[in-house]
Amino acid sequence: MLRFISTSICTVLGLCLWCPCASNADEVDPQTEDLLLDEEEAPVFETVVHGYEVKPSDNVTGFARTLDVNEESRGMTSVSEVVSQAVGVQVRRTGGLGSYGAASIRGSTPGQVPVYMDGVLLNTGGFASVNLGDLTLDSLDRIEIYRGYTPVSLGTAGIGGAISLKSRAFDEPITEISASYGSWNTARLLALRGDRIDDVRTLAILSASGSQGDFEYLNRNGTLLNEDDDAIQRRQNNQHVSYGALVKIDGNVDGRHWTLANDLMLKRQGIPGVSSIPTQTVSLRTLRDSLSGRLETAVDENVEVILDARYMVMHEDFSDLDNEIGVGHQRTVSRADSVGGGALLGIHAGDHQSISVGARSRYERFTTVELLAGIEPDPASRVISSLALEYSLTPSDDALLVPALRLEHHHGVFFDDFYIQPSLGLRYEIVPGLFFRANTGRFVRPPDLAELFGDRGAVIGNPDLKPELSLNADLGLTYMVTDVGFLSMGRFECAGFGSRVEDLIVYVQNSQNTVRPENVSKAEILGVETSMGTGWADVVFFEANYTFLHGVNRSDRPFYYDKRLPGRPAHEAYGKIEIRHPWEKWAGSLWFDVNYAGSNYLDQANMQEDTLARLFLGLGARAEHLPAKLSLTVEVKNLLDTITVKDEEGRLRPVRDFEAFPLPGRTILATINWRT
Amino acid sequence: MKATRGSLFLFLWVVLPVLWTGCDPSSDKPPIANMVDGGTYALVVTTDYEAGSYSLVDLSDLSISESIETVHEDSVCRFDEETSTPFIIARYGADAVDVIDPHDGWTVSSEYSAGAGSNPQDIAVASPGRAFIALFDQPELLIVHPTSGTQIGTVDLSSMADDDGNPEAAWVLYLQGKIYVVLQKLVNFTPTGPSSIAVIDAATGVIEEEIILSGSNTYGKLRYNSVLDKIVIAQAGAFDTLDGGIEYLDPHDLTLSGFVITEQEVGGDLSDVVIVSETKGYAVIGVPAASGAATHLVSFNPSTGKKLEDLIVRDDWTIGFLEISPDRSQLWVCDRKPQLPGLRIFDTENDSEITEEPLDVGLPPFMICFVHQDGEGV
Repeated sequence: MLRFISTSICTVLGLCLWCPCASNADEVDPQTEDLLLDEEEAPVFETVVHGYEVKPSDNVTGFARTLDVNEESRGMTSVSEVVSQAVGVQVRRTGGLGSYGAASIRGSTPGQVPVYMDGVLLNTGGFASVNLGDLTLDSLDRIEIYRGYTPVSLGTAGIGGAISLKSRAFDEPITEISASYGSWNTARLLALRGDRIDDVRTLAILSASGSQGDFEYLNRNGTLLNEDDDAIQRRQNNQHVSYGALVKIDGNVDGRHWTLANDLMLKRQGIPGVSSIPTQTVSLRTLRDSLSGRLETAVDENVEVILDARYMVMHEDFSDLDNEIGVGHQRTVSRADSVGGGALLGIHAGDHQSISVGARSRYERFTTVELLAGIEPDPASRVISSLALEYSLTPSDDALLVPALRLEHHHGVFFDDFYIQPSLGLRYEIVPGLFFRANTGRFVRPPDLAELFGDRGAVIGNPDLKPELSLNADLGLTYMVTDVGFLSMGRFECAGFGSRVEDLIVYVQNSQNTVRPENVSKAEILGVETSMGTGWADVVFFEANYTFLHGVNRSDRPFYYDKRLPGRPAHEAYGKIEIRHPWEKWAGSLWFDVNYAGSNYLDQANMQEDTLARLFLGLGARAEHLPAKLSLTVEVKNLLDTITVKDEEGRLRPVRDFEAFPLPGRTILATINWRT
Repeated sequence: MKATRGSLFLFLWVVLPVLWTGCDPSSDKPPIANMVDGGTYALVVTTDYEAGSYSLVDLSDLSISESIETVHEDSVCRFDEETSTPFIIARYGADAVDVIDPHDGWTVSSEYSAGAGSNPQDIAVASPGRAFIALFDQPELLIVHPTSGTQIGTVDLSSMADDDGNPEAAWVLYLQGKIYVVLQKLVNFTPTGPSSIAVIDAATGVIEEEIILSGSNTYGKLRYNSVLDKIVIAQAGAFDTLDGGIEYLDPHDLTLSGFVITEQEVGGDLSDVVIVSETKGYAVIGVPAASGAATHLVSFNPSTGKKLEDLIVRDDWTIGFLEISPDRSQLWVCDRKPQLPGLRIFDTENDSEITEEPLDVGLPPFMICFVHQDGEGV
């Protein structure tokens, strides 16, 4: 055992010296990778790639990745962490487990990234961007990340792309219990049971997690130039506790596959405030519940119909009774309801073409009440209807051409808007396993209900807002290979992308205490993404990715023009190397990861301090007793305890994604997992 | 074939990103010339409410040194004539005071905290070793050494508080041995009653008197006008309600003039006021608009209490603070129009605009403090 560990460490170090970047091997674990196409996505849209283990996301013309996260419940990793490790994705966090996290794909804003949970759109009226900190990996099987492209099957497209979360699935009855504990009094419990009763599969997942979040950080006391009053202290009021319950049943009746699911999340958290002014009592309570039903039926061997209906409620209760945040005494309750349904028709028209037609409609309603001030604006609502048409043409076995058109209609009290979103994708297999991909499209992000109608007072609505409009284009190569010498699998990708975004919606100070959204900004974004994932003799797994992003503001405001888009580092890299080895009764794995983010501005005018480049290292090990199906995982995040970095003048600055919201230092977590 | 493919991917994966490396922004700036004897400068606090800075305009040739240092996005300035020292008060979120050294490239020579969450609003220097800082979120006045920030003491203001226990101290002014502190008296930024001015002995820190004003919500900067020999107080009252006005306080007998001009006359909420003479003044007013609130720049005659004319009419909230040049010949306006922000200068004699286009000072200008070393007062 010791020999194995020492050999493993030497191998890890050796490979790291050979290449400083590694990657998330969990993405491409051949042992867990499903050889079959996803049942939800596959039938009539399938493009067969012979000889390779493919994911549904590999079959599209666009650049997409599927991250297998089923194994993540054996450890303790957040959705924010996993998503941020993907190429082309930036996630900005406010610090600590369960804290706010917003995803940006290829330089987009978080509001331009629709996030789906089993097909239910989580971006809803009044909540334009999805807080990844509210999502737990415990209930997920995989995460699909579409960059610059959104499949018609998902509905609403995003300017940046889309993130699709898929809940756990099983074939054989399964029971799983997991418990974690670690730094900052972080704890998590998970109980899962999946069983089959006659033809009906039932899955129930209960989870609870929480953290004190009292990590150490550098408090600069508001004086950025004066180091004498700086101090290392613990974050206050940064605790959270959340509960999740997912119940899913599915079965077959007369050849039709049906699914019913309910996903509930409850969360209570403190709001710590900016780093120099710790709060004591500010809190936020969140409830999100989604109920969805789905029916898939094959009319004949060439025609499939998928019907679905969804309801989601998002409820937030924000309390700052003592005015610790500094914008007044507040108790604000916000609620968004979204109900809708749709139909997706897939027609396999011969060997070389297929057509997908999706029609969807949803009703959104957003209410917000300021209880202390007694302000209760009228509810805001709208109906969004869309029709999407996607035509897949395979003129030869190695080519795929996919023109698509989305028509979207938004109807509300003060508006009646119609949006057209065409796109065109091409995939060509140059030689076996080597794919050329090129895509272009015009996408919109309609204004959110809070932007159109305002909230309880701080945001003045602007019903004249135009949608954000983007022209996207990308091209690149993907290469997949299996079983070549010691290389058991490999996936390589390199893509260039660009987008021009107009009418970006920005909040503008409108009076002493109010802001108003306006269409003021434009942006141009160019970038390169490269990624690779390899498995060597099914023992060593090495993955790395690098993203270069050059996002420039083209606003008509001279003080923003030509400035770098904030919060998007020019250089980002992630790498992970993992060694796995099974014995007769035991299996072990050891991994090491590196996460690098280059310097970047935190404000639009590029006036504030740079967020300095940072390097986070991580280490993990897992031992599994195979007969007992019991595993112990120990993870160390931010191994070097990097909570500050020095600037050019030698001043210490806290590591952060958002100004005044520091990130935690070394975090050690241990998880015991039992999975039948 | 495999070797060729491998080389291709090596090239794509390793070489291309290197070729595509971006240019990191450069922060190299030319040094700023120090203040010269007899020179007059406009120190301009700039902000887009997300980031802040300050710039400098040399009045001799209107040359501009843009964005000298980054400061908190919610900052105001105050110039102390006795010590020729400009201060930048970083309000809520930073809660600090920056001391600017005009003789060292106009850089921040000293920075000190006024207390986390204290929300400092203004500073008044009583002597080279004693200054008073108004704290909006604490019912006390901080007494500090003006450049080092060493705390000397506090003045308890809680006896003058409204129902929330805090009188919301805002602007503060030193004049002839006394400290004048504006107490706004707000709850959730809404006035709970008339504002007041506390008069404090600068040497002892003892509260001598509280003067209840005619209106509420003293939003505009507190200024002493040497021509009138009065302290000018702009009172906005409740926003969107024309219940405020401009009032003078006589520093000699501490009597109030009552409103010399009302919000009803100027037509909006008074957010800042400067007085040139007994017959000429300027005000920024807030007016309800479809966009939520608009700002106008108006001139008026304090002696008649009548509005004269509109100089700038906006349909959004884009006019910041005003200032009168030391020789009183010019009105300087912080024009925050997003597409063309900058300083605009008007001739106070005939209200004609001197600047052909706004002076670009980087971020939109928010407040101006004239800085000079020859002792000339405003």
